[in-house]
Amino acid sequence: MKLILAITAIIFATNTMAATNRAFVSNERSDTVSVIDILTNKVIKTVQVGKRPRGVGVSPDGNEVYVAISADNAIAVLDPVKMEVIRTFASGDDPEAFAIHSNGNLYISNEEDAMASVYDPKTGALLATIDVGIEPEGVAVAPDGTRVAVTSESTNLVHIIGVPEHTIQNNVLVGARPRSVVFSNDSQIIYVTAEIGGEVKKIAADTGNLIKKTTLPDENAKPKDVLLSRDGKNLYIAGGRANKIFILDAESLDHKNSIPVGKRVWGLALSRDGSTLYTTDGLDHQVTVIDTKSEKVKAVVKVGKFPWGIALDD
Amino acid sequence: MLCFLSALAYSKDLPLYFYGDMSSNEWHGAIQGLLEANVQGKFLQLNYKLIHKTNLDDVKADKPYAVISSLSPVELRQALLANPQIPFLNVGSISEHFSSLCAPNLFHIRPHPSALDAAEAAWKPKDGSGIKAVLWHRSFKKYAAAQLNKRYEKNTDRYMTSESWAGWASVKLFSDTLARNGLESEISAVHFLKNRLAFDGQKGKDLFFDDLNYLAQPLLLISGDKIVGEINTSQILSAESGSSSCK
Repeated sequence: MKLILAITAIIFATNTMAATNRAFVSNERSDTVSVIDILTNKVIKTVQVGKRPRGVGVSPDGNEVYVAISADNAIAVLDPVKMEVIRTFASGDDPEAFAIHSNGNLYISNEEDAMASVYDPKTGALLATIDVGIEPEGVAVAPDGTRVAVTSESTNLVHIIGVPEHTIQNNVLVGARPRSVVFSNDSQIIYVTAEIGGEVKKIAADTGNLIKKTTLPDENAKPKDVLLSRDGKNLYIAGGRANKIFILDAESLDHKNSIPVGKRVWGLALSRDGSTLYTTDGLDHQVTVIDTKSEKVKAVVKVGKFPWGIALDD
Repeated sequence: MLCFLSALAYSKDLPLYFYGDMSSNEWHGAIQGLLEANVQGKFLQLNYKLIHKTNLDDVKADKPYAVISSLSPVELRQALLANPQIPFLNVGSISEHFSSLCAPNLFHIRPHPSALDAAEAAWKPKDGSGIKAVLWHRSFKKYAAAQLNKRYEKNTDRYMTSESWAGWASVKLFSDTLARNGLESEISAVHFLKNRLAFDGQKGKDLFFDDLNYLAQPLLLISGDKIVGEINTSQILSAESGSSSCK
């Protein structure tokens, strides 16, 4: 028994130590990823990754970072410790955003193919393709792993797809130019942002029925990324040209607060403990670091040109 | 393409009539709009059909869901007034004669010439002469415009112009409106277009039909075949309004 406990402790310690406490930021116009030490909020390395990097994510085991290099039609795989590209694999035309299933597979929106594709990043194998609307963008995986949601920007739909069968269960008409989607912690609800009109919709994942909708209280708001707080009570929404983060009550969609950040805020990432929110502010070429308890900006980190996505290994 | 269209056989067929030249950019743009409308339709069990017509009497007889036209106001007048529940989307250029053709079911995709003039005049002091205001340009990239240009060029082997954008936009905005309103809705398509349009035309703004049923939209300002600026027609609405007798 002591031996088992010791081995378990070692494994646990190994996994804990594996977190590099780094943020990986894709810089769309620099063809790079900026690596930020999130303990010091300093850029510690800039990595050339390929053309037009956009979506970024960390594997469930924390051992790899994936970056969609859209103009190369590929995914670059980085070692988060060495901060180097260790391989790339073809991912279909124009990969933009992706979400990572707990089984490790990548669900990718292929913007120019009106398609979502499923890849095993360990082998680079294409596992499935799913026809969706024109210009697919936002992708989210339900926490229970049974569904994936994909938005199609020019078709104004969110597609709710069953996993593992990869068939569409519901197509829901939403606002014009839906950009991003997130599931609730219990996987029963999806929240979708639509850029034109500054709209946010709350939809039942099983039926596709609309539960609530709201318009962000700023005429310049062009919402992109949306995230849920770890306790599931707050929605964080990147307001685009409003240059703000909007905080909504996840139940009522009532507006609770707005936090000014840099220009054209698009990407969001939340620390594992939920205490810190990171934003990519495209036109200011920076990442803003926000304390979620005080809802105040605590740091600004300059990165490459037009930062798009951000993912944390914490 | 044929396979795709046959797969839609189970869907509800929704005819849209087109009056105008089939070799025109407006027609080609409308065909692109149709392809994209039917991508949405595929998921919503709606199948739009764009049917070229020459006899305007067919509108009253067949009651299509909408009429897309580049005909002159003189040719359109009788059909417009006889079918007030059917939206007529004018994709042709706007002549002065249109200003006196006031019908709630007539929607103009292209701005009044006075709005174009005002847009050009508003810019001239900043950038000298030689500015032209247009609806669209092949080099427009923002708001996924590059993707639309690419799709259009791939399908038609020609650049998207203001005329083809107007054709594309007419089908796209109407099909999306019909999908949102529903086929059995008590709200008329004319009312929905006027009051609840949700469409950005890949121009990054919430487009809408203004008081005179002109599509309020950003215009691109071109100098030397390059985009040098953008101006929204709602910023120059007063100039446009002043030129019409429709109030």
